[in-house]
Amino acid sequence: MRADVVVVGAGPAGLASATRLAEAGRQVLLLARGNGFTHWGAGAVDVLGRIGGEPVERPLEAIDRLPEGHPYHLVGQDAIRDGLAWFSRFTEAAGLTHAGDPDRNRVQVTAFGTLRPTCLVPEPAAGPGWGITEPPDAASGPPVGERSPTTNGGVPGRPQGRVAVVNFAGFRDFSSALCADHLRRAGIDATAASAPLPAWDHERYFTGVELARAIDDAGFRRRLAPGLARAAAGADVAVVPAVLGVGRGHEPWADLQSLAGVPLVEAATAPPSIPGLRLFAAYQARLEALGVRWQFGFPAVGVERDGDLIAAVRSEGASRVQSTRCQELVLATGGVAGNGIEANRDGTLTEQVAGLPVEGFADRMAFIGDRFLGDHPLGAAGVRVDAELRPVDASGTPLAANLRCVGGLLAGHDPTAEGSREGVALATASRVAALLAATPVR
Amino acid sequence: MCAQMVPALASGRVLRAFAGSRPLYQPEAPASGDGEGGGDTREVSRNFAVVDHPRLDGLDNMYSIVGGKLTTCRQMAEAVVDRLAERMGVTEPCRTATEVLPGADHGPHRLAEPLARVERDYAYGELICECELVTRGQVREEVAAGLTELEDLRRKLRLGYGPCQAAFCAWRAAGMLAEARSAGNGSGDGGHFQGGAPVDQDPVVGLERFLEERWRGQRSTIWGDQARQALLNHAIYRGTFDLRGEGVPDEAAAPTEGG
Repeated sequence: MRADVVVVGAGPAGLASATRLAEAGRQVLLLARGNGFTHWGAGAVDVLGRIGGEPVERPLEAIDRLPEGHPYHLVGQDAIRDGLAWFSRFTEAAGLTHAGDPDRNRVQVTAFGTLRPTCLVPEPAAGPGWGITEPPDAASGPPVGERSPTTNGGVPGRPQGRVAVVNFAGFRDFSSALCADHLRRAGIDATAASAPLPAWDHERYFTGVELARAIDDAGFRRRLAPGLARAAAGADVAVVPAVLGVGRGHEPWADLQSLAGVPLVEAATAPPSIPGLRLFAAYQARLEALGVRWQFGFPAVGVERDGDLIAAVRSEGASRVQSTRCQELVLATGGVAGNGIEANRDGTLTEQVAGLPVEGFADRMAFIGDRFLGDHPLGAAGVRVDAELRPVDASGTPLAANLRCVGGLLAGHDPTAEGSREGVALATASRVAALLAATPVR
Repeated sequence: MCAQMVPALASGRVLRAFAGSRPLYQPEAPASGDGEGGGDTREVSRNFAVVDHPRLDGLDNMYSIVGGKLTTCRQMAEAVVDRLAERMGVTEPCRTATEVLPGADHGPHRLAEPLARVERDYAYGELICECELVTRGQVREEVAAGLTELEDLRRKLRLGYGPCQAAFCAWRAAGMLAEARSAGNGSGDGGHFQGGAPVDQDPVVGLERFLEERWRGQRSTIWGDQARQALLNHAIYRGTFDLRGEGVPDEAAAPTEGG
């Protein structure tokens, strides 16, 4: 087989890279083992949520405080801005408008009633007017837990007014009591309630995806809305699990809140992320429209070299390994979590496609920290690259002129601990698209 | 070392590591070997023994029961009590083999009963923990019976014991505990947890403690698939739910105990 550019991986970085390269006129083949972090995450765009555990207010300014070798330093602020601006345009055109400001982080309500720092959120997660910042009411700025429930106290995305946390009866992946309890601890006026589901096909039990598919149906929404309105009676806003439709963008959300007569806010809910499924579907539609070939369920397993170039990428096929000759190869296979890197029992690490060098650890106990909810060194493991995203050897020399790495595969950042997964994905996709758009086809 | 005996273990998915000490009994120290105390402990019998002090030591009224393990505890009790009965002239036949222990005739370890429950009430069978097949009905019953901590639910129902190591079940069960507590508050009962913890204890803190306890047994088995699992769990609890473990004191998270 032949391709112009092969992109390996269908997570946030691979999807954005494939789309942008196709938009730049390259002929793209997307190879993926399976679904990536769209399906596992919080359904937001984290750019830089925390440094050293502390929440970051202005992510683009805070980049200066990141250690040397961080992907943001390699691609620069212009690529970050371009990546986020492109994503906002792309999602808006796909009916998945996002709210937020690259220069100012916001918080996202979670199913646990925590307020996770992030940057852009889909409109159904944004809250009515919660993005407007107000100055803290006291001169010194009171601590988060003591802010008045009627304002967001200068924290964009923080719930305001009377909040009803409403679950759909029988949905096992959300607890309105737990969410409301923790919101109250943060000084938010929150109560727990439950909305009955109309008669449907899943009387016994159901998943979030099944419920979201039902909510895609306008008739189901009309039957659902009265019970939802009763559950949220007296509240300014209802926080609900992120299940308001999966196949029709944000339209089911907009329709249901209009029918129920109360603004609805989707809380970040456990995997599978339904906002992530919406985004994945939008990418899939865009890639199809751009004529991108797509092989899903066939992991890349190796490369063939020709001097200082990658000549072909090898991937599993239905009955045998297939070889695809390519001009350019972009690896977006993720770190250890995404299966781009294997963590070995002896403490070493193996990059899975091209056998690229990855700095390992003295032994496997060094992979992780003492506390599960703390940081884990393994989360930041990755491939070192130069400013053109080419993997380099110990002396800094590129290992292949036509091989680039993007997203979670890159060394020098911990997507979970620092809250940078989608930002790094979009910024490095922007950079790789700029680099390869300018590269003449050999 | 295990992989030298069973090579497939080297590439298998090891969920946790834990250790315990096991008392073994051997009247005479082994003559040679590299075990502790100069002998090769691999050769020591794993069986239990009733030590006959009247015969061995001239102590007329003392017996010891040593070795063995929980699995054989009833057989051990039978052996030593039989010896005492004989000595005391008790002729009542031993009932160990026929006497059913309290709770042995019902519970989640019996397949027929949960299946009958699911037939009566389909929602009873909704899975809260997919790895260990713990259902919503089982959790609801145990909470109604007085369990208030995830740790108790784990020991009773095996919640969180499986390959995913509590990626999905722990927050579902924490939600059910929160619902039960909020219902308890409404009706005015259940004002305190068992053990005296106040009712306004943050349910998130209980979950964080549970996760840190689970982590202790995972730390030495993080590689391969289980490394991916651990980072996924981290991305769910720390990334999506933004839990930070701030309510868990260091001593509760410190890796000082096994299991």
